[in-house]
This record gives sequence, C-alpha cells and structure tokens, in this order.
Amino acid sequence: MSEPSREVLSLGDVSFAYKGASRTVDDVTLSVAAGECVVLCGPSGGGKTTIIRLVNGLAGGYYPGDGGGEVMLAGHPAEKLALWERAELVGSVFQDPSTQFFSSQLAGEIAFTCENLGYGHDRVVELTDAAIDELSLGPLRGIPNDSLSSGQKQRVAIASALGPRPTLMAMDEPSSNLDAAAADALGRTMRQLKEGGMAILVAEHRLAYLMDVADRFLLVRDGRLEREVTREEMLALHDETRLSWGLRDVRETVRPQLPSPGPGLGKDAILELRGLGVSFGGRQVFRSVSLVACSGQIVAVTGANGVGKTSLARVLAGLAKPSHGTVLVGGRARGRRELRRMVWYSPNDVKAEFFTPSVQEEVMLLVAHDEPHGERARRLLRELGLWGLRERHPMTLSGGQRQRLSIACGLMSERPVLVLDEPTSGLDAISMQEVSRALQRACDEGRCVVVATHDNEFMRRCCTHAHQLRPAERGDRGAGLGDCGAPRRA
Amino acid sequence: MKREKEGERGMAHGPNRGWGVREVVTAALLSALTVAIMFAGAMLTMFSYDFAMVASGGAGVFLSAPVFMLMVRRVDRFGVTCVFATIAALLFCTMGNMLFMLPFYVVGGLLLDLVFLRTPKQRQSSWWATGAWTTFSGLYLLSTLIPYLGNMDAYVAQAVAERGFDQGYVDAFFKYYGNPAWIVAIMLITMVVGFLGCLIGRALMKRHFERAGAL
Amino acid sequence: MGESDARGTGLTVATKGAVLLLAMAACSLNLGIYPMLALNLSSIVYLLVAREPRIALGMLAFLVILGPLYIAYTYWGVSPIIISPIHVFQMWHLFPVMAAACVIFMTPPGMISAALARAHCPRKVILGTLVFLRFFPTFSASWRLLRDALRKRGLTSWRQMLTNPLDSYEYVMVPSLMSLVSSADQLSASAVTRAAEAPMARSSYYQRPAGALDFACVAVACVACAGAVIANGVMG
Repeated sequence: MSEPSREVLSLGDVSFAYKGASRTVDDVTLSVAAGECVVLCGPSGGGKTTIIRLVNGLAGGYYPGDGGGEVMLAGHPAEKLALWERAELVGSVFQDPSTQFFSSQLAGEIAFTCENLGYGHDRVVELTDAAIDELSLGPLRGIPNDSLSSGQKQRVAIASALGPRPTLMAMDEPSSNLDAAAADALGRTMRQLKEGGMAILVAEHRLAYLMDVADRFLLVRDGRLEREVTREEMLALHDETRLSWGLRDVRETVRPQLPSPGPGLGKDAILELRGLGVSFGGRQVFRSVSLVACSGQIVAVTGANGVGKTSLARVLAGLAKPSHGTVLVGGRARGRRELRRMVWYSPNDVKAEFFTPSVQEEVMLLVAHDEPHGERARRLLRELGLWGLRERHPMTLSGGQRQRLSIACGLMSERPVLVLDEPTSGLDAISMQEVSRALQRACDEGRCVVVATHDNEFMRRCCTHAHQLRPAERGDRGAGLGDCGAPRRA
Repeated sequence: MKREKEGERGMAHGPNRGWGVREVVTAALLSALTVAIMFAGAMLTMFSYDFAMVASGGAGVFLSAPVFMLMVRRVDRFGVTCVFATIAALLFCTMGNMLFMLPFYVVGGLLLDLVFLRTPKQRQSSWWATGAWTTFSGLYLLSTLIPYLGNMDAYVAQAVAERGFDQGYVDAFFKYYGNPAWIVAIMLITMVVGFLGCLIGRALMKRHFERAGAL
Repeated sequence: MGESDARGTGLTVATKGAVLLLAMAACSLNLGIYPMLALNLSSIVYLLVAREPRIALGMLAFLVILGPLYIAYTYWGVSPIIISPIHVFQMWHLFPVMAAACVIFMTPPGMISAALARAHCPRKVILGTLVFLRFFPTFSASWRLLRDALRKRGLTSWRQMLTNPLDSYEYVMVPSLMSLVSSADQLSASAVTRAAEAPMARSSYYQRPAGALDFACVAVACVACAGAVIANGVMG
C-alpha cells in the first residue's frame, strides 16, 4: 500500500458467498503492484479460486453470490466496471485451456478478446501478432489448437489473455495439466511478463516452477488470508508444515532412485510385458518394453511427455492395440478382451468415469449386491476416506476424491492389476497423499499397481519400482531397465 | 446458410432480455447434441422399410428427449425451443431437407415456446417441457411430409420414374403415408414415444442432474 | 499476418455460402443421372478450388463407391445389403450439398466470425456459431473418455446392453451430458472474462475482400447448376 500509483490491484476486506452456500472468502485484504508476482497458495477448497474470480469479476457476475468489501483495479472501483470492461484490465488464465478455446486456429483464438472489444481491424492484428511474437507462438500458427501439447495450449491461453494489453494477469492453477518441463517453461513465460511490468496474481499449490518468479506467497486457508510468506521462508519451510498447507514441493524434486520392477522374493509375477511396442499411424512411439511386476508392487512408468505413457497404460488395460509384443497376466498371454476384465484403468481425466448417482452405488456397480460385498464396500469407503461422501453424486466430488473413488471401484472389481494414468496431476499435497495411501491400500491387498506419472514427489511417497520409458528412436535396446523377458526385435 | 440461422437466433432472443453468454453457449452445444442423437436414432431404424417408415422419427425423439429437457432447464430463457428448432432445421437441410421447410420449424418452435415454455416457472417444470417435446415430436413427424403436400401420387410416381425407387419402397411408402389413418397412427406413435423419452428424461433429471447440482 | 495461417487462405465465406445455396437449389430438383454426375464431379473440382485437397480425395473415393451402387440399384435393381437404398439415393442427390457444407465446416472459425461480423450479425449469434463449431472437438474428446470407461467396466458387451437397455442408455447419456454441460460452463466463463458481453460491434482479425477467384467461382457454380438443370430438361 506504500505506492498507490504503482498499485494495480487491491482488495480491501473482501468477502464473498456463492448463492445458496456459506461464506467462501472472508475479510481478504491484499494488493499487487505492477511488475510484482503474488502467489495465493494453500489447500484445495480453501478459497484461492474464489479470490481469483473476485478479481476477474466471475464471482458476483457470472457465478451469482453476495459479497462485501472493495476491489480496486488500476485505480477504478471494480464494482463500477462491467465484466467486459474488466477484460481490458485483467487477463484470465484457467486450469484447463483446451476446454476454453473458441477457435481451432491460433490467431483466431488469441484475437478473440480484441475482436469482442470491437477494436479496429488494424489494432486487432497488431495486438494479436504482438502477443503471438511475445510468446514465440509464430511457428505454431498452422497447427490446429486441438493438436497442440498441453504446454503449448497453456501458452496460447496466456497469449489470448495478453491480447488487449491488460495490466494484471489473474491465473488459476495454470500448471495443473503440465509436466515439470512445461511448468518450468510456464514459469519462464511468467517471468518474462513480469519483467515487462505486468502484475501477476496466481493461485497455485504447485510451487517449484514459481520460485524464480514469485515475490510473495499468501497462504489462503478456510477462506482467509492466513499469513504472508517470503520466498526464503518458503524455501526453509518444514516438510510437515508445507504438506499441512497442502503445498507441493517448493524445489524440483529429484526423481527417487527406485529399483526396476522384477520378481520379488517369494512373490509371483502378476503382470508381465514382453517386447511391447506401440505405434500411431506408422510412427513408432516406443518399442521393446519388457518388465515383470508382482503383487504388492507400485510400479511407476516415467518418461518425458509424448513418450507414450498413456498409450502404454491403455494397452495394458486392453483399450488400445499394441503394434507388437504381448501382455501376460497371471502367467498367460491375454487378449484385449481378457485384459479389459483383468486390469482396472483409471485415466488422468476422470470426468466420464462414473455412471451412478452416488458414491455408494458407484462402488457397487456390476458387483453382486450381497452382504460380503456390501461389507467390503463399506470397509473400502472408510479406508479410502470416502465414507462421509457416500451419499454424494460423484460429479460433485473434487479431483482427488474422484481419483480415490475410481481406485475404490477398481478394488471392488477384484482385478489383480490396477493401471493409473497421472492420478496426481492438479492435486494439492493433501489429496496427493490420500491418493498414495489409497494405492498403498491396494498393494496391501496384493494388487499389482502400475502408475504412469511424472510426479517425483508422489513417486517418492508410494512407488516401489520405476520403469523409464524411452522413445523408439533412441537405440533398439528398448526401454527396459530390468528386461526379464526376451525382448523381440521388430 | 449460416447467416439465416443467425437471423433466426437473433430474432429468438430479441423479444426478451437475458440471453447471456452462458445461455447462448449451452443452447448451441446441447442443440447440436440433440440433433446428432436424433440423426443417430433415425439411422438405427433403417434396417427395414416398414420399421423405418413407422419408427425413424420416434427413435430420434425418444433418445434425445432428456437432452432437450436438460437444455430447457439450464438455459431457462424464452425462445429456447425456437433456437433449437432453427439449428435442427438448418442441419437437416444439409442432410436432405429442403430449404423451404425452415420457416415451419422456426414458427413451430416459437409457438411451442409461447404455449409451453413462456414463463420461468413453466421452464423449470418438467411437465411443461414434456408437453413441449411431445408436441414437437408430432410436428416433427408431420414436417417430414411437407414436401409431399401438393400431390403425393404425382411426387412418388415422379420419384419412381426419375430416381428409380424400387417397388418395395414405394409400396411401403404408400402403405403408410398414402393412408391418413396410418399417418395419424404414426404421428401418435411418435408422440407417445417422445413422451416416454421425456419420462426417462424426468427420471434422469431427478436421479442425476438435480443431485449433481447441474440444474 | 493472418494470411500465413495454414487454412486462412482461399475463398471468402460469402462465396462458400453462395455455392452452398446454389447446390441446395439445384439438388432440390430431381436431376437425372448424367446432369447429377456432372454436378457431383464439379463439386470435387470445387473442393480443390477451396483448397481442401484431402476432403476432395475422400469425397472422390466416396463417389467412386456411391456411383456404382446407385447405378446398380437404379438400372439393375441390385439392392445393397447394409445401406438402405434410401440412403444411397439421398447421398447421390445431396453429394454437392455435402461437399459445399464440408467446405463451410472446414473454414477456420475466425473467418466465419469475420464474415458474420461484416454482415452485422448480433454478437450473440456470432458467439453461438463459434460455440456450435466447437461442438465436434469438445464432444469427441469426452466421447473417447466415455468409451474407454464403458469398455473397461464391461458395459459395452451385447449381453449387458440387451438385458439392461435402459441402464445402458443412462450410462451413456449421463456422463456425456454432464461433461458437455461442464464444458459449456467453462467455455462461457472463459468467454465472459474475454469481453464476450461487450456492447460494441465486433471487429475481426481476418479481413479479406472478395477477389477475382471468388467471383469466378460463383459464376462457374451458377453456370454449372443452371447447365445441369437445363440439360436435365432437354434430356427428360
């Protein structure tokens, strides 16, 4: 508050309650100056998103509700501004850019805001092309937006918010769909914007990529600003405190050195891959993947984006066809139909996973409705922390809760193998720990779990083995660190 | 084509205020889905002439009823049926309808809005939406007969001569559409099936969408 | 500039709309086999002029299959087994309309919205059109997820679908509607923060006046349609 002239955003005693809900945000006071980056951090559901929405006007405008206090944007009281007028002052970036595109072309998407604001043709072209250059998106102009990688999509979303040259960026968990490399690139982009004088307010629980950008961290919990944390304090933060605040690692976590999967002591192999390869329309994604996994193991499948982790997971689950190689479950080669019955698969995006109107019915779907199964379902729901939510509709659950529900359904289905694709992307530390516990629970029951992931913190927490997937071009030796089977040469 | 569609849409929300961004987006996406399902439903009945004649309309309106009900409740603005019918008519145009049928759909949609879905209270009640969809089902079936209105015998004779329709098709066509009793019967069947679809839609609204907070 | 976008070149939207209307008008008449064949072949040429070579190739392959089916059926009464004759007729007689509609659907949304803005369409109508064009990518993404989820649970087996048709219907319908509704919400929230409610007339990034190619294209399309209709009359 020392230099009001440079102050781009200030919130004074702001509170807000969505229509029909109890108060979500209470007495929030904060300010952001030009060229400053402020991070709202804290556990999911603590009110970070609502503060961002109060800044870009969605809370109160698009999402009805009652609020108090004063929001000032570039010296204007925000309540006197229409939502469209705020678009010139605040650029908004959301979690999942791909669901917010209005155009399949890059320039058309980035020009959207300027076009809406009715700027003259020349000005629209000038602003749009400047935004494209600023984020070095020129080479992607010819590619449809839907075919871009998630990191590129997020850059398009930022460029699109930059269009009318706002003074403030309000970002809501912009890294939730990005891997570590893409998140770092996002951090660099934000740094570049900040150096250009942009004020940035970002809600995030994943902090490593922000450490070189952020000036201050504000802990938001239970709808209140609990305290301000400097970068140094954040770096020195005790692990337990950090986890209790729901924050992910503040430094790039080193990938844990885990043994490659193989037969354990006195344990039989449940899942075995022999010379597995996948190709997309003639392009070999990976080849000669061989590994053996046993009951009680949590095997992490790692590798850079685009190396085929998701494809491997879908092949294991019998949902996609391998180009060569075999998958064995319980010692026998299985066809896709059999795999679909023996392997449970949880995709990264669980929005289309659930079919029934309550958590309780969901775990009992296609399961015999008798007492032993009912008892098992009750026990599982308690163990996975879903008991209190058993009457809720699955669509009303948070991301972490949905992942756990999917794991619970997998355990109920009595399949020996569980395959998960990026179960922790976008989760805060608390949910991540809960998902890890759920997977450990599956292990204790003797399941074999395979997780495609790039989350090192999560790997350190629960994975017992790791397998690095490498692209096909790099040598024919295959990706198997622990090749147990006989890799078949293509 | 696009431009005409736009004109209709503009008209649809002209008379009353309050078609916001959310309403436009929801109506556009859900209308597209409704039409896609109607088309898929009709395709499912094409394995036999007799079945196609009687049930192709019914299968479509039965399967897509819940989408319409969800759309009415979520959009909750006057003109929603008109917007939907206009989009549907324009899409049907690229799949075999004639352009001159467009006004029938626009006017029909507007009438349904006026009768069934005029007030917010009506739009939030699934019985009114059921009424609207049931009536739409009947009108939709009748609309497929518009091209034949002039002189059916001449139209079909011409079709046989110029397009070489086979006798089986012509027989089936005359059996059902040459006979007013059959036309009424098919219309009633379509309406009943549309009504049944709405009952399922009602159940789904209660069972899922209300509990999920999507309404 | 916008012209460097891969698909940002070619005919204007107005031209494409005019060609579509012409095709609809010509196809609403019952043309005989030769005039129709001529029109169908010219629509392949039109696809090439509109710089959609891949669609042109696909449609040509389609025509190669469709033509013999149509002739076999019309002249020798050979009835195709899977596709009903009604469909063969419709597809044969609507081929130019399909081609012209394809060209419009493949037009970059930015060009369409620019054309609509020039025609002074209300902005909500433009927004509706843009969203409508987003339906296919939005829905196909969630459809893929849903198909995986259904297959994984064994809900796509014939036994399950035939013994519990209503349940199967619910399992398909509810998740697809839920995800479409949530996409609609996210799209509109994003639109609202991007000034979609601004009252002023919308402007556009893409702006290209009609060129010689456009006029030539419309003229040739007029001639082709009129020629087909007249030839049909003469031959009839």
